[in-house]
Amino acid sequence: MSKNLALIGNPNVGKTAVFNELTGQTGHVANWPGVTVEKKTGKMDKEFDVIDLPGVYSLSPSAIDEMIARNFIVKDKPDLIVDILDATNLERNLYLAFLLKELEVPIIYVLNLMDVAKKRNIEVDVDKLAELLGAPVIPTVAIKGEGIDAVKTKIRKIFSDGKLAQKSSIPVKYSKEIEDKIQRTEELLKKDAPHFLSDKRRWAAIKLLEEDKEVIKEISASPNGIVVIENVKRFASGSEEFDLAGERYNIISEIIGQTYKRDKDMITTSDILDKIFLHKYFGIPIFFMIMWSMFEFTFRVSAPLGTLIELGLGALGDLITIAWPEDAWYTSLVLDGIIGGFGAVIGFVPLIFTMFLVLSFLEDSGYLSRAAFNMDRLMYKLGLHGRSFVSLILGFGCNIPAVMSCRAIESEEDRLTTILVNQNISCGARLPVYVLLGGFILGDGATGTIIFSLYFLGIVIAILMALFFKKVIFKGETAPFILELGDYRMPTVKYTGIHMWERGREFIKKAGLIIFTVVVLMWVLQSIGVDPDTGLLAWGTDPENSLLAGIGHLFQPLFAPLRWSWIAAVGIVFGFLAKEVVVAAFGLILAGEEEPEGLGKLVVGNLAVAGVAAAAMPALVYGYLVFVLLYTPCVAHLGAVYKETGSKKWTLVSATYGIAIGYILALIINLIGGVYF
Amino acid sequence: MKLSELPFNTQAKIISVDKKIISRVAAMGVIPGTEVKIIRASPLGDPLELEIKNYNLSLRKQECKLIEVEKI
Repeated sequence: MSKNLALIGNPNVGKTAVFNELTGQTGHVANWPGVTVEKKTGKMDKEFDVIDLPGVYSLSPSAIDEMIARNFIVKDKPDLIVDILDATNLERNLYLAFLLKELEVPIIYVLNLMDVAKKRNIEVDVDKLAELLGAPVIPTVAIKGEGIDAVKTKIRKIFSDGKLAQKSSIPVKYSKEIEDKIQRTEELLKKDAPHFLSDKRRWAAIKLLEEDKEVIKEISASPNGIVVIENVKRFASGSEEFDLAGERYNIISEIIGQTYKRDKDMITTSDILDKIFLHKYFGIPIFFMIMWSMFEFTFRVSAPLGTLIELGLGALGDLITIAWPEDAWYTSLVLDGIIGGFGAVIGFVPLIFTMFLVLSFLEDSGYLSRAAFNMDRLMYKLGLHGRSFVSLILGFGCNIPAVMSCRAIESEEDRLTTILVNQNISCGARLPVYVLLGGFILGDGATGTIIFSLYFLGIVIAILMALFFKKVIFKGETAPFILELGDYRMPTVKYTGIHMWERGREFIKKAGLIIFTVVVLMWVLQSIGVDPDTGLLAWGTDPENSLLAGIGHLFQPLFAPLRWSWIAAVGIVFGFLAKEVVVAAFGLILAGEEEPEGLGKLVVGNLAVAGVAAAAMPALVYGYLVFVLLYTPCVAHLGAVYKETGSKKWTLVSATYGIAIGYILALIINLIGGVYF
Repeated sequence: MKLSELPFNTQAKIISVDKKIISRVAAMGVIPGTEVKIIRASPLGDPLELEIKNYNLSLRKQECKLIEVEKI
């Protein structure tokens, strides 16, 4: 039977790197049962299942991540815990180590980031530390793979020696006063609730003394559990949680004193960088500059690659036109459907990947927590949390992981608000539509400005909606802002690459499955139509009579007040499945028409109903883009909202308010732009 | 004095932490007896950045009001 290894550690200690090195990147991502917190599992040596627990500071029941980690350890009983410690910040990291020791589980410690520690003249007496902790301590530089073999060897040896006894972790001894209370509680448990966590009775006793919500809830459900709680209350003072935290840190200080030496006055690179990035006057302008360069970089780097793909697809199309029979159905499928429709999406893959690359870089560098620190005041005024800000930023990549990232927000009201406003942050999938049509509003040269204005509008709507939700609907208190400003790390090519790929992979999957399916479906709908002579469905009718056009005509009346054509309606309807499809729909419908200036020009020519003056077209196009920005990002986003809120009501709110605001704004833009005169 | 009133770059020691936030901040090292120093405020004035147990932690002023400190 395979053995379970569980990796645990504070956030930002290089746990991902340890996981990847141990499993040789065989890991795969799923969700923990019932929640959307990512669960990463992988294999080491074929016989060990490695489980990556969420990065946590403690094991309190107030946060989802911490409960997941704790439940896994208490209920699933992994065969070995691998606790990863940050050598540059050992003292605080040992707090979690002590909470784990209380659980009396077989454990080893990985002392990571030894290279950074060395640079800072930090000296750690590893052997002494292992002796005091009562378990093996292995120094590593996981990101370079150093020390990983030693970790593997140690793990194998522990299992081959069968030394998995609880003794690999000596229980923590507290002061006499606390120990007496623990002992009395243990006796009460033994007498009145003998089956309650019988293998972790000492831990259960400690948690009862700490008035831990979860343990109290669980014991209340067991027979005589209430009696135990009542009896504990007789001798507990109520300050045990406090006292225990203090005592843990006292023991930790003693260990630190014996094993750890650091140069207290040393100024680190992080300190210097913080002087710049968190500067009183420059901090915020720098923040905006970073955001701006992020977009600039994304567009500039990806543009030539996108053009290259387009040229390649064009050449492929030409080849097919020459080589394959013109009227065969498969020629039409490949030319119109796959190259025209799906190809229009593929052309934007470099753009989306570059966006993911930049976001991964920012995330891995440690800057995002600074952004949260800089912006918290503003977010607080909006009734939100600095962490909400980070989730909003992630929305620029894709709203789905952004919605999921909201789980890090403690207060339920803040979490719901952040989930509900995220859809206004323009994701990568909407960008292709802006790029395609943005040049037809103020001219080619102003495409960038138009795109920026759309992003900006999205942010403004997000802010206004946040104010609305927070001030009108959820009138709760904002959760405290407790955020570690960890060290800056130079993101490595390898890990930023892995990180980008993990996100991009989801996009590719989506592109491969949903987008491809939708495009082929659209092609079929486009190929089947009503024959005007017979009135029956037939293959290969005129596109004007196709089922796709029929769908467009069916929905067009909804958009008639906006003066949008059936082609515009098809884009919106199918764009609901995935925004990338908007461009694909245009590519497919207009594949048969010739336009030397490209698809964008062709789309603009077909976007409005007859009778809209050419001078009013820029306004109409802009209104269309605003609607694309604001209506539901995609079906998968609604799915994520439903999963995260667990409420049909909020999912419906998310879907309808976006459509409503988008529609109203498009109407107003049309009015101003003279579409109706 | 309250931590929110402590001048910047002045070393102080935590005397007490309000029960309301203790379960949240204890794991971060904010417990009585610990030395603390305010390094800076966010450009917009709030939150504050603290140096505690050799790392940097950010808390809002309203939480700092619940932490009693004395200069050392």
